[in-house]
This record gives sequence, C-alpha cells and structure tokens, in this order.
Amino acid sequence: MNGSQGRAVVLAIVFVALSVAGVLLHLAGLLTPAENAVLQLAIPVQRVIGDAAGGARELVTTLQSLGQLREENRRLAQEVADLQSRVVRLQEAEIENRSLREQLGFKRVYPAYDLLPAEVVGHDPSNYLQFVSIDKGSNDGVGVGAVVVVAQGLLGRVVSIGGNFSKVLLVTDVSSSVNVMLQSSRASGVASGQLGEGLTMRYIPQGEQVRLGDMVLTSGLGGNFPKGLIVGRVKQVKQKDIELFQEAQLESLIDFRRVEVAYVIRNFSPQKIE
Amino acid sequence: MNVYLAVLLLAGGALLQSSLYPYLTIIGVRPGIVLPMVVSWSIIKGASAGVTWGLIGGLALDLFSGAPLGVSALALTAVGFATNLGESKLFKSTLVLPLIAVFLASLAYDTMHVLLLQALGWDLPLVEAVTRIAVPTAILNTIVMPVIYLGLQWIARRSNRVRELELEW
Repeated sequence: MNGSQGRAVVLAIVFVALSVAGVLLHLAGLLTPAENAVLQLAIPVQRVIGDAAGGARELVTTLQSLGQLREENRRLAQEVADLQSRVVRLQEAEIENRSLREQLGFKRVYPAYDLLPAEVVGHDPSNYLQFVSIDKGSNDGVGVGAVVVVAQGLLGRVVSIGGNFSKVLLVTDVSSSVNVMLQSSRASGVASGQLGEGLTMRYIPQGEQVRLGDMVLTSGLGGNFPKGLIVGRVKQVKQKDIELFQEAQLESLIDFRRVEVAYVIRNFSPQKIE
Repeated sequence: MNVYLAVLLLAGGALLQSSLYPYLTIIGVRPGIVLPMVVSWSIIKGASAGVTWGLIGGLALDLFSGAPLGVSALALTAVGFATNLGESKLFKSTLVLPLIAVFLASLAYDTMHVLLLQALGWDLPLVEAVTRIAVPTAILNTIVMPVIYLGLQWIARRSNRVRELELEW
C-alpha cells in the first residue's frame, strides 16, 4: 500500500465513522436541533426551487399541449359569445317584463284608462325644448291633445301627429302648463316647465301649507288632463309674505332621458275651451 | 358636392342628434352634430355652401324638433353664412381657428335660437339660457369639432372639387 492509498483508507474509515456517529447521534436525538435549523433555512430555498421546477414542468406541458389549448380557447371564446348573447336576450326580456309589469301596475292603479303603449323613438335635438317622438300616430287613433303617461306619472301631451308618429310636449318644457293640486291639502296651482328639465308649481294661494315631499297631482281643471295623475313631488318651497302666491320647485319621478315606453290614454279627450 | 349627399349627411347628423340624446348628455346639455357640420363645411367650401348646408341641416333638425319648422333652419343658415365672413387662408390652414369659429358660431346659433323661440311664445330666460346652456354647449361643440371637421375635410378632398386644404397643427 502506497502513501495515497493509505490516505484514502484513513479518510474512508473516518467518513464511515462519522456516518455511524451521525446515525447514532440522530437516533439518540442529539442532532435534532441542528437538523431543524438547517431545514428551517432550506425550506424557502426548496420552495423557490420547487416552484421553478413546477413552472418549468408546466411550461413544457403547455408547450406540448399548445395545439390542444388553442382549440380549447377557441371553444371557450365561442361559449362566452353564446353566453353573452344569451345574457343580452335575458336582459331584454327582463326590461320587457318590467315594462309589462309597469303597464299592468298602471292599469291596476288607473283601471279606467284605455292605454296604448308607444315606444319613444327620439328626443328634441334642441337643448331648450323638451319634446319626445313616439311611434304611434293618427293610424293608431292618437289625436292632438292626447295625454301620455308612464307608470311614474304624467309625461306630457301630444302636440302634433303623423300617420305613425306623434310629438309629445313634455311637462318639463317651458311652454307646458298643467293645472295641478297638492295631494295632501288639495291646494291648487299650475305646474310649468323650466329650462333644463325642471318643474315649478306656481299660483299656490298664500296660507296654504306646502310641505317638502308633498305629492303634486293633476287637478283636472281646464279639462286638458284627467284628474289624479302624478306630476311630481315638492322639493323646495318659496314663500314670501309680500307676494300674492307661493311657489314650489318640484321634482318629477320620471327620468325623462330613460323613458323607452310611454302610454297614450285613448279614452280621454281634452276639452276644447272656446 | 352632390346636394343629395349633403342631405343624406345632414339628415343623418340630425337623426343621430335626436336619437342619441340620452347618451350624449354631459353636464346637462348635449353637443350638436349638425352645427359643427355646417360650420366645417362653410369653412371648407365657402359661404354659399355654408348657407346651403345651414338651410338643409336646420330643416333636418326642425323635422325632429317640436318647434315650428324653420326655427333651426333660419338660425343655422345665418351661422353658415356668418362663419365664412372671416374667411382667410390662415382660417383654413389650421385647426385652432375652426375651433374658435365653432365656439362663436355655437353661441350665436343658440342666442338666435332662443330669441326665435321667445318670439314664438316660449318663455325662455335669455341670460339664463346663455349661461346655463349655450356656453356649455359651445364648449362641447368645440370638443367634437375636430372629428367632424377632419371627417368632412376628408370627404371634401375625396369629392375632388374643393381647393386644397392643408391642415397644420
């Protein structure tokens, strides 16, 4: 045995002895704190390596199944498109359902009225005028002066007609005047439109109590509108002792920009006062 | 340009202005589509074309409006004519001046429109109408003007009957 062989044998014996000692120390539990400390440090590194390996494996798998994924993606995109169109159809059905329920509700509230549903097809292009066009006209029995309502109340009245369309002057137009009354006190006044979709109730006699939130209804005076249609709700009262009348700012319950379906009251004819 | 195409474009503009009402409303007012078209065409083609477009565009708007026929036509014809009074090469060669033109034209149109409506019985307060509606509308019209102006300029070039207009920023 030469010198280097002898060194190898010595190293082998030392390592075997260390291994045996390690096993014995481990079995005796003397190495546990040291093992734990090392593992504690190793775990994050293991995690990073594991993640990287997992990622790499996933990448390989992905690359292998690229064609299959592309096909699946196409199928899913198609499915999403189908579902979207179904959602749109359901939403439309819901809107229609709501509109029909509103109509039904309106008929329950005002059973005496014969209502003709009409679609709102256009708005006045001017910022100063409040008109809408509906898709029902003289061919459907609509005449000038016909009253148009929605479930939330009075929308306006027809001012001009064609065969299959009508122009409706909204209650919020500055040229519109409607005889109204406060629901609680029955005090009368005139509701007229203001610039920019506002409504004012004028000519409320002094001494009449006007409260915020009071509902304002058509009074039926003058014969242009049937009695009892909702026009709005009091949101501000202007009362000065030196003036003959009080005034109230009203808010309509109708969102005029969102109205899609309105109802023409067919069995009400406005009175012509000579 | 073929007058039929003008009618088609302006009627389309008026139809859009009427139908897109709920979607175009910003800060309580809507930008016009027809007015910037008339102003643009007047700048591109000259006063005669501006007047013609003003009349056609105004009549198209009146058809969709509850106001008597002719109110918008009258105001827009005047705007179509007046826009080109300050005609110059400078006016046509940059986009900044058409923007100023549409802002001023919009204020003039709205003021005329309100005065005409007042004369016809609408109880519109002029000062409030100008401050609350005309000024915001003029701002919105100025914002939509570049799209309409550049679009019509492209159509004008395509029609091959207009003077060469170079646009420089």
